[in-house]
Amino acid sequence: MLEVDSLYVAYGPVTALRGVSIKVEKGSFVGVVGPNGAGKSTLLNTIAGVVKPKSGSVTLAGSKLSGARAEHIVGKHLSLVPEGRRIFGQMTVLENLQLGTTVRKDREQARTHITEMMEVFPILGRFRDRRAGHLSGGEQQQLAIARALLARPEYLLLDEPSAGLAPVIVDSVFEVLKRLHNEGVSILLVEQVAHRTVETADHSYVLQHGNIVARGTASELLQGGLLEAAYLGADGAAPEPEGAGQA
Amino acid sequence: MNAVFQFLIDALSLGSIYACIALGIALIFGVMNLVNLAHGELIMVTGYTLLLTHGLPLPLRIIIAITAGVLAGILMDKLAFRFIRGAKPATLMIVSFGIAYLLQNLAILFIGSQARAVALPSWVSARISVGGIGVSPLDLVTVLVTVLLLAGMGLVLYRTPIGRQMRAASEDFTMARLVGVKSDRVISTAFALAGFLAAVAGILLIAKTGTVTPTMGLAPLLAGVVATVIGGSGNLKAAVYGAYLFGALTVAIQAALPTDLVAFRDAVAFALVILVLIVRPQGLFIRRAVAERV
Repeated sequence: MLEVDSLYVAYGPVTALRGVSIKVEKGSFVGVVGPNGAGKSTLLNTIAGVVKPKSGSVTLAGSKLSGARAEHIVGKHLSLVPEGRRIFGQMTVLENLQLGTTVRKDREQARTHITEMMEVFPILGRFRDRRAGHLSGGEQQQLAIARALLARPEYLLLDEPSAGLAPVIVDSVFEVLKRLHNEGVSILLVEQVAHRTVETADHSYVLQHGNIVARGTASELLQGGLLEAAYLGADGAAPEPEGAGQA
Repeated sequence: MNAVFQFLIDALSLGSIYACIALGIALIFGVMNLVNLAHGELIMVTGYTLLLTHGLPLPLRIIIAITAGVLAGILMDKLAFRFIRGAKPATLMIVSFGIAYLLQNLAILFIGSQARAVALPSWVSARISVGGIGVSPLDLVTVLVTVLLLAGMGLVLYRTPIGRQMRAASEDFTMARLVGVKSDRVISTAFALAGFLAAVAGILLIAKTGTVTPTMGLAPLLAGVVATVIGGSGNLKAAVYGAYLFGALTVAIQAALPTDLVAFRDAVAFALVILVLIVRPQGLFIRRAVAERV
């Protein structure tokens, strides 16, 4: 299980996360939604080791991740697909995929895995020698997900994979995520597309101003009006679930 | 015809040396966001090693000098920059300035501030005839060595996992770490390669000038930085193209200026560079970013 406990993160005088606690059970699909500036990306970046927390902890299967470097965390079977895809645009599609296998020791199997990935995402096979920066946004998103999967993550973290994509492409991205979830990959998805995320995930958290202000299943969040209340903002008006922030 | 051939040889020769320096600067800039103002001191360390190994056979001196350049690069990282990973670019640059100043002063303290002549074989300053055109063997060696070196660097950067990781780190360092690229290893390798390139450039420069001084790295550093900037910062190929362009520009200006104005060659070259940057601030060989497509 991936467990985030009482995480505080600050950028200078600005506090981005205020004691956030979430849990991602192995094999589960967890969503984190919230408006711009809620601290969603900070949460993922802290888990992945890009941002250092002020206090609190991140543990994966009981072993502490907080304080570890990003390049070591990915070796513990946790991969992040960051906001904006962040593919290596000047490198080819194949080179991007090869970089996804950096932490693997099984070089031969990694090569086979790359070939398999190009079958799962045929567009990547077709454009394997093309510069990744020349792909469309949707193709780049597929590449970013494929690259992350090549590290063989048990936990896949995605930061707004639908951002900037046409609705039809967003559909296919969500289809890919459902398929990965069915194959046993644990997913932590951060999104602004709140309804869709909540409906797809087993369990979701609503983040606002660095605090978890609501959590629950799709029916709990949608029917109870918790999601709308959190998004509409009303500081203090959003119902604070029992135990929120302590998950 | 003779003049054109001479221009080509001179431009290629100077551009090749600049390319070695610019590629080293671009490698460090790419992985650390640092304009390493102590890069010229890698050349200086190489130069003094060549001087101090006087008496040994030349090939051995060259090997020792290159090793010294590589070690100086690695030590620069291990003893200074490693402790300020993630610092702001301005902080890194000031530290690099401090290292440059420290190394120059160490050279003055232990060897002296005067220019020292480096003994080299006589063929270095000879001229030979190729098809009736007189050329310097040193220029031919410079072009040959650097072309082989740049081809070798191309193989390392484009055909090996560490090269791929360095290019990835150069493009997006945080993302490279997120796929598992070990930051310390990549930075150390970049410093070692930069030291190697600077050492080769230093040996070729000393072969041309025949002397070493504590501040001998300053002018090559400036040329390398300018080449990197006009090519396009953060892009390795662009730095090499920029170096050859700046080399050709320098030689062309020298040839075009009246004799009494040749002293102002660098001023004219830098004025042209400023003009280039006003028109294309991103550099001449950088295409508009294509990564942010939707």
